Amino acid sequence: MTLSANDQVDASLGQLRVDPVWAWEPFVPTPNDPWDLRKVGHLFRRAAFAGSWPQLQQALEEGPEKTVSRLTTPPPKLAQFHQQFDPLLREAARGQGQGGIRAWWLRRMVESPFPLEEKLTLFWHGHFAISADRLRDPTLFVDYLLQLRESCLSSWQNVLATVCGHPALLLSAGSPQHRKAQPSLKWARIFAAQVGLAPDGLPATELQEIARAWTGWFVVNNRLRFIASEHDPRPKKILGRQGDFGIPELVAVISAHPASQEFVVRKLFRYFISEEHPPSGELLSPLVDCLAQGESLLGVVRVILRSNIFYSTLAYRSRVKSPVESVVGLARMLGQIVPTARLGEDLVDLGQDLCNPPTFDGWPEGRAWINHLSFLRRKQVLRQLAVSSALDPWAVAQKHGYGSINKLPDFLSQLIYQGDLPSTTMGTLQQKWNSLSASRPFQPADGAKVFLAELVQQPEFELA
Amino acid sequence: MMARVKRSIFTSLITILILPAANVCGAGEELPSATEWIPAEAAIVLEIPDSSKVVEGLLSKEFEGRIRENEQIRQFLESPQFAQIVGIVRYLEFRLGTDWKDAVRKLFGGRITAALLPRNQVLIVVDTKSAELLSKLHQVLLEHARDEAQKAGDPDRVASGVYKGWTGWTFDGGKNVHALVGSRLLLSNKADLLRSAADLAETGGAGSLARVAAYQQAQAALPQNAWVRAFVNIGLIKEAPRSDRIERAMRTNPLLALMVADNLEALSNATWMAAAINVDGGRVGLHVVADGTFPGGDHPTAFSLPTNESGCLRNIEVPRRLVAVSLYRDLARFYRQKDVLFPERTSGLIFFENMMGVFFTGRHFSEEVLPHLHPEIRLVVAAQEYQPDYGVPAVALPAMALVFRMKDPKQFVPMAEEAWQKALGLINFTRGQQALPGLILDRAEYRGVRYTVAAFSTVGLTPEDRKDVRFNFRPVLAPVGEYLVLSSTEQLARDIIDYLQQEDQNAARLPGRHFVLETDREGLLKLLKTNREAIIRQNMVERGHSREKAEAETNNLFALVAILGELRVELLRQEDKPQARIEVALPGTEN
Repeated sequence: MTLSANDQVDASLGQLRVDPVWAWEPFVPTPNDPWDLRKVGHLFRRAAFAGSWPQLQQALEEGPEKTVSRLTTPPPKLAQFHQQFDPLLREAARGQGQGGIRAWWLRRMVESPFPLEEKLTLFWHGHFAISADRLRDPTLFVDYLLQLRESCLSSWQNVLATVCGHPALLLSAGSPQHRKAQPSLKWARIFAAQVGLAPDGLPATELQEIARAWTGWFVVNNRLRFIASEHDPRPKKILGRQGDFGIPELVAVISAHPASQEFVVRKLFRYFISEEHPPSGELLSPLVDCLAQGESLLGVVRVILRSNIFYSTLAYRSRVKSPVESVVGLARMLGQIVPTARLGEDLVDLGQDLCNPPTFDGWPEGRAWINHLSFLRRKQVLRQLAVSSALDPWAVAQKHGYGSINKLPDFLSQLIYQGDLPSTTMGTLQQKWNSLSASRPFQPADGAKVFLAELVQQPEFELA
Repeated sequence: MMARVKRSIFTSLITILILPAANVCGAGEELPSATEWIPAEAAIVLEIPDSSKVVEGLLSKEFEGRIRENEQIRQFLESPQFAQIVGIVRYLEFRLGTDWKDAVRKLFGGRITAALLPRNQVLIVVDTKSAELLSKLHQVLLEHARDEAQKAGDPDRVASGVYKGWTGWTFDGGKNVHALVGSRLLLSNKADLLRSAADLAETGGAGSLARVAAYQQAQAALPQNAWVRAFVNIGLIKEAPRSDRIERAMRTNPLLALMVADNLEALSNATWMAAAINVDGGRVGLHVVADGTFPGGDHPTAFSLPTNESGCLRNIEVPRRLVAVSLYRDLARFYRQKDVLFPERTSGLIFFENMMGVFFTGRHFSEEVLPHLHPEIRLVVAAQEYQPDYGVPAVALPAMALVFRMKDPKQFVPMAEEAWQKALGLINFTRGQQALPGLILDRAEYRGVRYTVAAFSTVGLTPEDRKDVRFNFRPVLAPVGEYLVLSSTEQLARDIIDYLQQEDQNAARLPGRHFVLETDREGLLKLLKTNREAIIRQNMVERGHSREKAEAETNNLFALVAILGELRVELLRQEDKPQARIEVALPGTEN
């Protein structure tokens, strides 16, 4: 790791001062800073929830360039996967409501051959914070999610157009009617905040113009309809552009605006690199330029995942996992399927109800996830999962040639922590394993579950 | 891979077949009853006095024919898993020098006794008919266990030890132990329990279960020719941790209290409970008795006790029936005892009572509404046949109906009708506030019965919209003579009207019974088939299974319903003592 985060942070501003050119150049391994299991684990945690043992080994062999390509390219079997899972999600919504949606979405995250897509869907869902409770119809929520998934890696304009073109946005905001006689300033403020226009900094007239652009749009019988007689056709001036803006034009103007683009890039930086250190505008400018030149969000993410800064100490183990990332990551590490119905409910307890982000700002981020109580509950959920009949760490170890009492601890530790667990902690765990495996009767499969539970309850597990 | 699967099945068979140990002591000697080797602290004991009846029944062509008639079982018999089992059985036949049916007769054709003791200790005693065959089988399985232990790098997990002349064996590092004494096999999950059995054998059964008075009384109360007999020492069960969990659950659950309060009360003053299982012409019957007595008079739980002449009514029979329940419960009397029966719930019932007050125009629920009903209550659950013009929901829920017997229909029907329409109006109002589709109320007539029906509109809906779960409902309130029918669908309401108009009032009563439940195999299987996909999907996310595994489990569920789906449970009062009769008609023996 070449960058020491503390050296690069401007204490007075709390902002990162890093050479942007160096930061976004692709990481090239050197003998002093090699491509090793730690970097592989880091990449998989951020881009794919986590990696299984064969995935980590393959990535180690292939190097960063090929691995990032693999993780950011939709695999050929993705269409078939969607074909199989989309109807399951729709049926779950119809039959079991939100519980079914949570269960099948989690299942999808665990099984997806293209986990980055699921991560970006979750990312955008957390951003626009659509609440299924407010939609009332679970099938409408699923329809929104599926459309969001389809566009989540395309352009910022596409994402915005998808969200604005779906009734879920207005229903969730409690603003289903936009009449000519009463443009909604309240809605205009919410919308401006969601697209990065800092409503407090916008002149009141600009907010009024945005509200007028929305006039004529109604949600009727859960469908978004444009009623021409309710639209205010007078010209509007928004972000320096003038015209009879409706929603498509509004989306085009906003998504092309530098403030909005920097807003998106900043969010991606927080999601993939660091929530701890706010980046300077200078550092972000190369990525903002990419977006301005028509690069897709997938393209920007690819640049991030290849970059020097992504593999620096600044990014490494510096994000607190969300509860979803934590449990899905555990299942993906072991490459095994877990009972997601119960897990969906557990996540509600942990504050991440997949169907209902708590506010318009979405879920908390970073350290806000962790307090004494939530940390204890998270450990409890991970423990339950680790010792459940669904996970079989002994079988995984056996499959990869580590199925012996001597090899198992090191194997699981490498799989989960890639050597990041402090040696004192590892020593304590090894002692526990030794006494466990010496007891009689001893079943290695049961013992391995107990050891896995000990491993995933360490605080370090919560760092992505 | 195949070898691993075979090994796994082989190991399972070891557990199932209950292995004998190699040390055969006293072969040819007459052994005392197995209950003389079981400690007196046994809480639950299961005995099959003569397993040959069960074995011959299961091995008979007739039984095989009945089993093979079932589609799910046929599928299993044709599956690769079954083929693997057959392969293992052939191997055992070769090693033992006998055919499997003969081996089963000799090994399991004697007496089998199983006892559960405190702290989850289990002792199983199998009296076989051939010590020689047991010894041979043990040798084969011992070789296999040693091989497996060697391969796993844990050869010490197969071990033996001697205590009072008995040799105890373990194949799994002490988790389970077993010993052979003559032609008798003893198997336990605790070595100490095996030692206790040896101690009892030495002292001639003093302090054993056979000497316990409650056990002797229970044996006397059961028919002597029972295929299987069970004994429960209620005194010991009451001492077990969490033994009062049903009672505690009842304190917060009025429905549970309505169902079980009477029997719990009778069991609370019982010292033992016993059960006998008999098989007759493909029907398996379970008869349960206890020495407790039902309290009568004004006791809070006396709301469910019929007199010698009274009792609940026969269950209603309708097409596509899945489950039917008939109860004898005085609801007014039950509800008046709410502070005693479910005290932890009564504060939560204030809202319910207020709502009932609204619906029944200010009448007091337990004093002015419920007293209008006789204690005979019937519940029917039936599969639906959907009308394409209404909607075919993605998840098919069965229809459900409650049938009450009214004391004075002329007075009560208008009250009930008004309450029903108010309730539907409130539902519509609530749904309307959320812009959800409401119910359209209508009056209809069928066979001279005028009833109220409410349905969802389908105007302007796409076929996809009509898959909504709401199209499982078309609620009806129908007064039919002295009965009041509350049904979730119009179809079921009409079927019930057909039944009630033909019901023989004199033959309908079942004296002494206060609970009768019946399930219908064909209906249940049909409902399961209709919802097969939904069940598989639910299994996948609830148990974390792959689709293949979820399908296999669903098939097992189907097979279980295919075998046990035709069930009848009766709870009754005989000479103030509680009794239960349960009967399962095996496939091919219905009616």
